[in-house]
Amino acid sequence: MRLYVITECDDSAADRAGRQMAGVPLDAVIYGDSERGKSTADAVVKYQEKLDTPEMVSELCENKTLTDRERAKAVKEMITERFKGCEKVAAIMPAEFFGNSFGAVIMKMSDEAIDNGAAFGCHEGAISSFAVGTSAEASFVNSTLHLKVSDPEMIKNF
Amino acid sequence: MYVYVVRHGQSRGWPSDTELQKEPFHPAGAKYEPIDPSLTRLGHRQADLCGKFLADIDFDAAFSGPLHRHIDTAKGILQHQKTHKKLEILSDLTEMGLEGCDIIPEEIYDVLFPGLDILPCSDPSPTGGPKVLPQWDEKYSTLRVRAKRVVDYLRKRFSGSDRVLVVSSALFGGAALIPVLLELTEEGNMVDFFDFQNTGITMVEITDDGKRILHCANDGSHLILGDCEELSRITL
Repeated sequence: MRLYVITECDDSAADRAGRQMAGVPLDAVIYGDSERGKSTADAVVKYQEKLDTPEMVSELCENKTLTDRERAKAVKEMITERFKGCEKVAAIMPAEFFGNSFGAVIMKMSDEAIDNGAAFGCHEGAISSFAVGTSAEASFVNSTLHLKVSDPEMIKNF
Repeated sequence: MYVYVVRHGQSRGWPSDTELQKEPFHPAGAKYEPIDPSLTRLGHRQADLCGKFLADIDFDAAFSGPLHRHIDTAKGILQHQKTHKKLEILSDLTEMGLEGCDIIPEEIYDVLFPGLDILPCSDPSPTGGPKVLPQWDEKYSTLRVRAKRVVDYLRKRFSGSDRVLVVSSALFGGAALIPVLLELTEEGNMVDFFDFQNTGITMVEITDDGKRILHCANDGSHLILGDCEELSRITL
């Protein structure tokens, strides 16, 4: 299963991210409990033919009982189990959570490295792509091309 | 230290592609070596665009593997640097298992890469590894050993805000060098990897206290647009 991570962002960036993802037929778009997460997810779904609405998942919601690393692992496990059989899923999450925890967890960085501050690039509205399952492979991380060009139509979809 | 790992541009390494085979190979006088092909025209263009994209980054050092496609690509990138740069060849940066491939003789560097200031790989390599290239049956575990030598060497030479260009190949870069730069777990390192399109840019920061930050992976912005003028360089 391929997981696209889109970091929460303002409406303009979210629209560009949604257009960039338009050619990628997603099976689901998930987000947490923040307003920005919801609006970013809505912008992505807007350009998807098969989807009507994004889905809030509790694992992506703020959780004071888990560390970010623990929560990142819980999110990864949930995605792996729940979307088994799906081909493409997009997860919307705060840039800080992706950069400081989830990216490192999905690529199996050691707990020690993560706790030591290992991080992934985390621009708001950036898109990253991973294969998730028995192995994890990153196709690209923290791609912001769609945010930089004056005309997003110039950009090919992933 | 900021390490910019770049995969080489498209090379003539795909024998099934008959169109590519029609292109002239090495410059006149150079020996045809099927396992060490030069870049295609597109590959040169990719390297040129990559160089333009990275032009504002003043590299403190530039390294490449010993293969023709590595050095061709590095040349395309370095030609856009604003100050003179020497390219240092490290045999450990070569691609996984290359049976029967000899390193390009230093005597013909000037013929193949005119205008490029090259520091050939010593024997043993500055990383401590052998100058000779690995055998065809090289294992992933050996890739990791090579990558560790490279990373250790870079960390001894560079620190702080130093910026280092490293041109290498898809398997070595994606399955070994980047995972080792990021200290991925052994389990992850053996089965997982980072994709690497031609001249894709992956940037890893290693802070002086050992923290690893992956700023971007496989960034191909310069290839998609074909015109870097429209891009700010905030990602890199």
